[in-house]
Amino acid sequence: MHRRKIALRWAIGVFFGSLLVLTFLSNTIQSLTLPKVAVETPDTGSLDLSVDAEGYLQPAYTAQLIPLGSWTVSEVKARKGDRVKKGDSIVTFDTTTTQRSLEDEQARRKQEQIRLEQLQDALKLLMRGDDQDAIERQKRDMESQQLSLDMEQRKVEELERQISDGQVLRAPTDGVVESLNVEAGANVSPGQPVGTIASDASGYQFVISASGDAGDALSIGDKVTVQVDGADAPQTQTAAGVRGKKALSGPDVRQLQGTISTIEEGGDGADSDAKRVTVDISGTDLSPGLKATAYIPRQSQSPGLKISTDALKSDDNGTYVFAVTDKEGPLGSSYFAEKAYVTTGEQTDDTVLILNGLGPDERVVTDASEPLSDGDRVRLE
Amino acid sequence: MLKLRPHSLRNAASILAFLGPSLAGFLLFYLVPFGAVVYYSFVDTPVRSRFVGFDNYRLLWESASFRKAFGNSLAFAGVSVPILFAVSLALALLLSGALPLRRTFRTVFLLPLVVPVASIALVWQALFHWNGAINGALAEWGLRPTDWMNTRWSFTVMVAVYIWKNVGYNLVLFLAGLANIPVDQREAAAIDGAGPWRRFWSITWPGLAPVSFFAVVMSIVGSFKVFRETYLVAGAYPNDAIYTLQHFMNNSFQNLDYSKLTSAALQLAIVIGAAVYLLFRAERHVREGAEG
Amino acid sequence: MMAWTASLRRTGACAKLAILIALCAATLFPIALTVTNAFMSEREISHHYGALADSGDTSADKDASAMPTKHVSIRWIPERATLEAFGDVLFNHAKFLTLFWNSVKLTAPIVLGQTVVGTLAAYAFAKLAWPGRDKLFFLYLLTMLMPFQVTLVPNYLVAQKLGMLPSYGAIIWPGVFAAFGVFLMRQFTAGILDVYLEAARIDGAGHFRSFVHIVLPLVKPGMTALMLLAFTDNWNMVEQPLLFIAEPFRQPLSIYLAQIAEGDQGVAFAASVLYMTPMVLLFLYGEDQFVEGIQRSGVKG
Repeated sequence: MHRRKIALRWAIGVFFGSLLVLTFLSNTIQSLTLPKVAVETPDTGSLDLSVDAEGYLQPAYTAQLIPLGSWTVSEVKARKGDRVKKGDSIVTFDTTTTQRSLEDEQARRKQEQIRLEQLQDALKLLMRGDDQDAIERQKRDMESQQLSLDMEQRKVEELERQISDGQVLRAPTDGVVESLNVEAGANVSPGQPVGTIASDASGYQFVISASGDAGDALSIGDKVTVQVDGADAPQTQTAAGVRGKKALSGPDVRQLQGTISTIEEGGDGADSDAKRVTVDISGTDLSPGLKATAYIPRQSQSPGLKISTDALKSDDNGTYVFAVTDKEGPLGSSYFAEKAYVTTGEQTDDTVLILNGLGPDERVVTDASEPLSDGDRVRLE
Repeated sequence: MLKLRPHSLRNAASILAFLGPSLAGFLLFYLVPFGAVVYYSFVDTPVRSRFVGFDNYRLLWESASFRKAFGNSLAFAGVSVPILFAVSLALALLLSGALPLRRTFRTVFLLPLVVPVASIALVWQALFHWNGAINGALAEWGLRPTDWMNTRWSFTVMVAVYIWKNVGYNLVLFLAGLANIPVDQREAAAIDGAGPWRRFWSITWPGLAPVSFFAVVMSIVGSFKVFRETYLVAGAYPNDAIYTLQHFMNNSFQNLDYSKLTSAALQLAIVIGAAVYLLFRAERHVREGAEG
Repeated sequence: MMAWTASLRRTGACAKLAILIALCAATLFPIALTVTNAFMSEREISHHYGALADSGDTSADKDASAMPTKHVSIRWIPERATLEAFGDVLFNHAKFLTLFWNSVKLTAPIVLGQTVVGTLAAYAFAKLAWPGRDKLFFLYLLTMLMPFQVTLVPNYLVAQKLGMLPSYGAIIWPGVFAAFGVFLMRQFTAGILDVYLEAARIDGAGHFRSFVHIVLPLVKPGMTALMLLAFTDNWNMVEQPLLFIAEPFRQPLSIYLAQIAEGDQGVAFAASVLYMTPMVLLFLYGEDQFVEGIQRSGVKG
């Protein structure tokens, strides 16, 4: 009997004690056991499918600066980004090597000349006799010699032309020096471009990426309003930050009309849904690297509930989201994630339009600490 | 008992010291409120306090739900108290002899008294629900199921629950009463050739009388407290058959119908008071008769 | 002849035992069922008790399609005994613990206060003589017998006046001064022989000293009994919180259990078991005093 009492006393103590401990730990335990979810409430309205994307101008045509001989650069007269007129000299070369070959060739031409004259003299001697065969032979030799001379003559002329044309490398067209990758003393070889000139006449283009349904809506030939940063200063990488701030609000922003020239599948990076859209524009005072912003306004066809695309999941039965419902119990409210199958409308890369299956007041799970299944009890963040 | 005359101030002070806390609380939380009940039952609203005589009572008796509740409470007490009395007395007689496991039996019968009703309510529901286990069994045997909680059967169910809950209390009282009856009296009667029936009526029953009165009083009180069970099993608005005065009063309270509530309270108090008074009178009568 | 009577007596005893065992089984049935079902998994519970969810209140087609299709099935043995439900109650329903402590917060002050107040007053009622004593005691007795609802409104108004309403005070204070404590302690105190007190008085002890040194040690079992009975009564409290406490999270467990019974049965059984455990343990611990308390209350004093 006594032992029973002691046991009971222990039991009572342990019971209340463990409940005390559990009470102390209750918040901790709860935060450990339930998956944590982030939620958002959908916005009602139409989805803005406007494309508002930036790109940097690139010339439609660039002329290459190609040296004519294997020379050494003696002077670089222009710098990258310089605006040049056609015929402006850009690089001058030291053409000594070609000069030397020219002199060699001139000497060789002289030799051929002398040889021809010798043959002529020999013919005169033969004419005096009447060995017709020998005369004929001599004539043919002379003809061949004449040809050699001509060849040599052309070589000389070619070298002379190289020197006169190539000693100064000139801008082939009006435009902007887009690149120039030589400096004084560098050796160049013929056919290898040393730089490029962006041609003004051909116009500029830039590439933007448009994803999702906004991208689908575009077609080639569409007119696009383009705003171009007017600052004519060369756009260099180091100025990127400043450029971003100046954006479109600066006083020298210009509005131009552009045209979509190409649309290609597969945009930049992993976002395979995006499309590469090339917009052509032309105008004065454009230069490569200027920031251009294309704005193509468009709204979704019907209004709906806008939620983040992160919330969208799908299984065999279709597309669904997890909506959080709360059950108001005497123990406070507890939250449950429940599957709600939805009909989706247009979507952009971060927002999707829900046409059906969701109420405007429902909270949608955008992120969960653990994979959820239907009816799971969750904690709100 | 110690006969102390309060002849000195010191004595009065010590009485007050012992009684004081209890009396103060008793006045504040019981007597004054009861006086207030009487007062409120004769005025229209506690706020306006216009004397309306017996209007509240008239209105109360005109209300069908009150008449129903009042009748139900009386009927419940009238039916359940005798049954409980009989069951617990029979149980006490069964347990009174030498018996293996006697203590364990007593413990088991007392358990319902301590087990919170709320924790058992679910089992009652599982049994008596329309889709409950009893109807399931009936259906299996091809009998017509009964909607236990929503017909007059609910009255029977509540009586059963009441007995389940309170049998231990009366059992303990009766066991104590039986223990007080001298064994030799019964043995003497047995030797005289009295049968068990006669022994019960001539010796056991009179010996139990004082305890019986108390048991009846407590059973009546208990029967008015069966509201707990009813509420937990059937909610605030149960079937008509078990809509008792307590439901009526709780619901009046929640509807802020104070005048109805207080006049009903006063009448309930009078009925209980009268019943208790009569029982005490009867008890004294029986005792004096036995002694004289 | 003798052998016949003996065998009759033996069969009588056996019959008695059989009846008692049957009655015990019936009495234990709901408690045992609650305990065993608390060890079932949520899935199993909802399988067995799912029928409760579709309420049968569509009385119109009740007569037409007389047979309900699905019934609650009473299962004693879990398919797979698990502590899942307990874990659910204790870990996932963190508020269960809050409500449990609410119950404790309501019950403990009442039990302790009632014992202190009751023991003191009982001495005045049982061992001191003063005019109007028996009449006052009868008044106490009467209020003890009244249902709670009788003084509900004024109690509410008093609590409002004293500014106790938003707190538990409105429930605790009337509980502390409940007449039952005085009544029961008087029964125990009256049982103390006067000679002890007489002797103390002759030794020159005042009321206070004889109370502390003689009465208190002798009524200890009575105090235990009162604590147990008061605990039983107040741990079960339904009416007062129902009417006085509005916020769900401040309710005691008794109210909560009545509400989860709908739908969430898996948790309900486990919560019920946790709820009844302290009560049952305390009862088993002090069973003798508990029984004595009931018996004393029935003795005419």
